[in-house]
Amino acid sequence: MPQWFAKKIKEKEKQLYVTPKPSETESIPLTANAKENLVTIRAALHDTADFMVREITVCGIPVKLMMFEGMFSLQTLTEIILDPLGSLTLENPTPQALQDWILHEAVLGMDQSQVQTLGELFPFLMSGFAGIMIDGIPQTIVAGVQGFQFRSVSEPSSEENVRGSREGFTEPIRINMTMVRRRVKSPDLKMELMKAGVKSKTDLCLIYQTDMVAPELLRDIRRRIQEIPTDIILESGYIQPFLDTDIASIFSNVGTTQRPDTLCAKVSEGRVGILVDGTPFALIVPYFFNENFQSIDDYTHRPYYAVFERWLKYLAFFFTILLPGLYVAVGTFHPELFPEALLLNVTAAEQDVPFPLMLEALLIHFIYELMREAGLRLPRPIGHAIGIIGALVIGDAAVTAGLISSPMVMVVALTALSSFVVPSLFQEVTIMRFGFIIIGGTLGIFGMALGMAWMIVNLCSVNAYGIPSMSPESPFQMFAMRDVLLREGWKKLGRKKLKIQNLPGTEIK
Amino acid sequence: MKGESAISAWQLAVLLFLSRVTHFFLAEPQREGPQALTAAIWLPLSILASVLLLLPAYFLLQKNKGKGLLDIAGERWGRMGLLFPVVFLLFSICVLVQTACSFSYFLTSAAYPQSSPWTLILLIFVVAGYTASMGYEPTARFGSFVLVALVAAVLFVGVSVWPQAQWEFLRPPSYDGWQSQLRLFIRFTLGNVETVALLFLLPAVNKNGGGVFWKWSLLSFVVLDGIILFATAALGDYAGTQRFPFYAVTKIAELSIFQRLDSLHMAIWVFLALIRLALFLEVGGKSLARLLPQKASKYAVSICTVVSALLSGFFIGLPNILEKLGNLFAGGIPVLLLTVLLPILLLLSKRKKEAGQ
Repeated sequence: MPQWFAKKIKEKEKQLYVTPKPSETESIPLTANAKENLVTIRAALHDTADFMVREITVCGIPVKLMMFEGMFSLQTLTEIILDPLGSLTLENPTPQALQDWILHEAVLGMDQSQVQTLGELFPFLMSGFAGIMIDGIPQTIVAGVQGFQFRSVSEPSSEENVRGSREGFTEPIRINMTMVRRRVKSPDLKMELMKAGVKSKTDLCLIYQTDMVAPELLRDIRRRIQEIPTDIILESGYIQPFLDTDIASIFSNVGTTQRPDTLCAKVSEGRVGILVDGTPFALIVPYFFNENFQSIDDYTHRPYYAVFERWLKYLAFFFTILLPGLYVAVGTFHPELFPEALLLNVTAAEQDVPFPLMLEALLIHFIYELMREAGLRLPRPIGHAIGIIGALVIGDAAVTAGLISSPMVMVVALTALSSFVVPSLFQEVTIMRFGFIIIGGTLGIFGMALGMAWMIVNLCSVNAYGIPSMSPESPFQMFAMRDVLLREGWKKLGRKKLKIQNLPGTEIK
Repeated sequence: MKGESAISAWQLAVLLFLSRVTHFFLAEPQREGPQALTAAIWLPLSILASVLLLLPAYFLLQKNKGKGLLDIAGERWGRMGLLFPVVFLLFSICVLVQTACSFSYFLTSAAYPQSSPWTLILLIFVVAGYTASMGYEPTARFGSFVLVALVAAVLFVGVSVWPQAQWEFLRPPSYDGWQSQLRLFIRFTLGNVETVALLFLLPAVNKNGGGVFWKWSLLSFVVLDGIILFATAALGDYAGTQRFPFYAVTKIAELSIFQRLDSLHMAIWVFLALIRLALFLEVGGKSLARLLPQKASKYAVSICTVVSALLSGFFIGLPNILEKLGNLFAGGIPVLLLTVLLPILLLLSKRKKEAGQ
């Protein structure tokens, strides 16, 4: 029976989905006949409207310039290609001599390469390169003349800080690479370009420090990227699941950041940063649980305040996931745990509410999530208005109407506030909060304890590329704790560097 | 290069300690009256006695480094060696049933009188099975957090009952008579089922690990002696009438606006029970895996979980049998068999083989 069922599902899948395959034209080689090549290229591109060809003659040799509309800068093209080629005089003008001149004597931009197939040519053209095809030569020279429009470097919206840089990653990968390089001027910092996406051929850049990274970690990441079967990669989130070593866990061991300084700091500990073209969110691999509680401000503030902030974040995390569930559990099963005065207040407030505590908590959290989602998707001014309506109008009206009690509104407000303290765990805590409300409402503190145990075991079972995700808390290492529950001063912190593969319980060297 | 996937000596010591604490909290009520000082003295002495008893097993494992008892038995005795996993499996299931039933009894009598013991047993086995199926490492890592929570809870409760503690309740050891002392000594030495888990899990400890036994003993000595003394000082003769004296301490404890700490303590107990169940599910699962065909061996922990849960559900209605099971463990025969007799037999069989050569 299960086999029959699985077979039926596979058949249905086959009807609905197709497996992404590379285009068949990609392996077609370029020939010495430029006209013939152009016909082949146009056919392969299905006569797309944004493909441009400009035919010029250099020293009597026909040359075809190929570009995609809007991808190049006309000024750069004129300065580095059209002007030098227009004024060129060769003693012996042959196609080979022209190619040799372009390749070895002229400097047609810093980004220059030679391609032999359509599969090699297209990604360059579609990245803003100009293709120079000389009649009589079975190759095409590509030169970087990019000039497309993009968002300028601005403050990262999801990781704002009090002190430190205001620069955040932007969409073009090359600009992001520059931002990283500017911060670490070391020959040990290596950037390695790769492509992923069967159709999109998206540029990825692995960033690591050669003297810190574990070779096994690097090999594993490269292999995983090469095996990504997705046809189009539009955001780093598309490749994140393929880099996650334990997809069954609710916690990811791949981190994201919008900040080049954060990426540099992580890379300097032996991690690998991954930039994806077209997104301001870089990936950090591997990423441990405690890193969710670190921010760039921790390292600019005085140590005692940084420690206070860090503990506040840990507290906020537990508050977010446990407070509503605990309130429901204690209110339903263990009211004796409330101090006497509080118990009387809670009882009085809950008296007029027609729902059981669990249902009430679920309802109000559902409304809160609705308002949050609406505020997030709408234009900012309307989003703010939704927030005010939610907080003042709906909240107040619901309490007045007797649908929810005032203590429950307080619980939701505190929970919501806490959930914003650790933004990187927002998805996880939202789901767990609902889970704990249900568990607390049905099984009391016993259920809450079981749920907590399940969560901790789930966290402890994650081995991010052979390194325990809960390290250095468990397996415990005293030395590494100086930047986990504590944050030592820079005089001590800067003296010795942590190498993640040296953490206890690690399986890689 | 892949390193060895193993746990450290401290991690194993913490796991064994937490398992022992669970047993102490659930199945070691002060059956024979308030004899705190006797217990506090016999606990460290029982540790020394255990050292002597574990010597044959220690020599056996030292001679066969990196191998577990089941491996050695398989090598020495061939098919007859399968007797070892059978015995270990049965032992683990008995420990699991006893723990789950005691825990369920505690919950239904202390916090959830209207709950079905079946439901409680089923729920705790689901999470314990999940923990055990993750392997030694996640269980050991989880254990570290439980240790911190336990120490914090004990300190919290300790501070809150300190004003009520009356030290005159601690009677001299001679007060209880020599028979009572002997029983306590046997119970602490041979009723300590964690020694079986220690022998079973020792090969999983990484190369740098050493002194698991001493680390475990140190933890047990400091924390358990502290708990025993505090419970008796706080409760006095009342401790002897309580099925769960340590729970009774948390009921009388109050700190500032926190007037009841028992529910907080209960959460810690859930963690502790989970650790013990997961530990013995792993022992049972690994033993069962030896008996199953290769393809089915990956389901060994799950099968062990289901069987133990069903048996616990069945035996929860038979308190007399559970009592006998508890007495059997307290008598020390199962532990003596697994940690002393079987290792000696294995050692002797090697001598025979060497003599034959």
